Amino acid sequence: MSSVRKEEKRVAKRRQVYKPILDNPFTNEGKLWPHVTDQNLVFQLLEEKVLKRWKLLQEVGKDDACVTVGFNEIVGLLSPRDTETPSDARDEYLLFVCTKDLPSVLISQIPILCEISRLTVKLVQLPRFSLARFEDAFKDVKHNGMCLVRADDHYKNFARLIADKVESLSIPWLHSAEFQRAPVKLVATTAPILKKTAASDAKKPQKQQQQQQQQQRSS
Amino acid sequence: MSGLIGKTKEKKSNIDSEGTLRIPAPKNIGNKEHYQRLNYLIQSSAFLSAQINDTDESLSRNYMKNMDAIRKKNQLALSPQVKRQVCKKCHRLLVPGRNLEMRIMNNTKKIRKRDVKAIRKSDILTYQCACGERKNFPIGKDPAYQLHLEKPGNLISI
Repeated sequence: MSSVRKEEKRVAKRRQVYKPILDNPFTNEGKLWPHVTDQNLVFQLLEEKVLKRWKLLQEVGKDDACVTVGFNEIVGLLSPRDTETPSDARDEYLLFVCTKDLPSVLISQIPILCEISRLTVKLVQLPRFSLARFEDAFKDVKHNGMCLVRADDHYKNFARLIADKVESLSIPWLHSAEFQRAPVKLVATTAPILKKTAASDAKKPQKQQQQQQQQQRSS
Repeated sequence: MSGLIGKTKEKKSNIDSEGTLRIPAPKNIGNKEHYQRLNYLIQSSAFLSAQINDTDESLSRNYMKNMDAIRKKNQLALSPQVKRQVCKKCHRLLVPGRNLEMRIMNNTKKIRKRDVKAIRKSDILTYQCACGERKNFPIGKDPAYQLHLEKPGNLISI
């Protein structure tokens, strides 16, 4: 004998529905974020060279001038302004982002910002669960899962090692007109199955009669 | 013969454990021409917005306005990523550093030093267009939030 629950499940209450949707030809995240060949090695390097140093300097009560942390600060630095370019604009910058641990709306515009920026920025995506290590290193400082490192003399070798592992950023639609085919996709959702009952069938003629009566009154 | 009779297959039920009737995805979609038209308008608008240094962006905005009108008339769906990239008021295609300012705001009044996690819960990401219109996303409320489309298996390419 089967249980009541099993019996209920035999009768479908909802059905699967596929709805067409137009995807953005420009925000394909797989293409936007540059590929990293060895993510774990890159993260280990970041931890050894940047996060640990930051932690030690914080304990002493100093700040690392080459490291910028936090969404607002990084966006402010990368945004192109009408004023003159800063003196340290020649240096290369490395932007590390925990892409897998952050909401997509927060990071969706970052690659475009890096491409438009006057500074030369190498965008590096970090593996899943790297946000927890950021929490450990930055503690009370608001970091939003991203940090920008200026590759000055101290970080030059580090930047060179990272650059070998990361592909360069390319967003073609910002520079040329290359038509992309319509990325129409299907979204799988469910909809309730509405069954015709005797009561609902009986209501229909009543409604029709009411409408006819109203028309007669109005005429 | 007796072997063949024994091999008759039982029909598999299409109903899953949640009581949903599973139907295979269709291979074609209707209104494809309309979707192609929308796609063309989005890309033309992006090209004009990115290539030409025009502060007003009138032609680009006009294309986007047309796209929105066609979409509404024909009841076509756009992905949330596209909708987030367009200003609802002036129909600008939002490009950071050009016509979009991004900022994380936090309006909590009672700030206690140890309550960093509690403060982060009220983080709001704000997209501000050049026209002054704002889009707010409460990212602190649920950092692990995913759109229905972002969940694996929900978006099927044809």
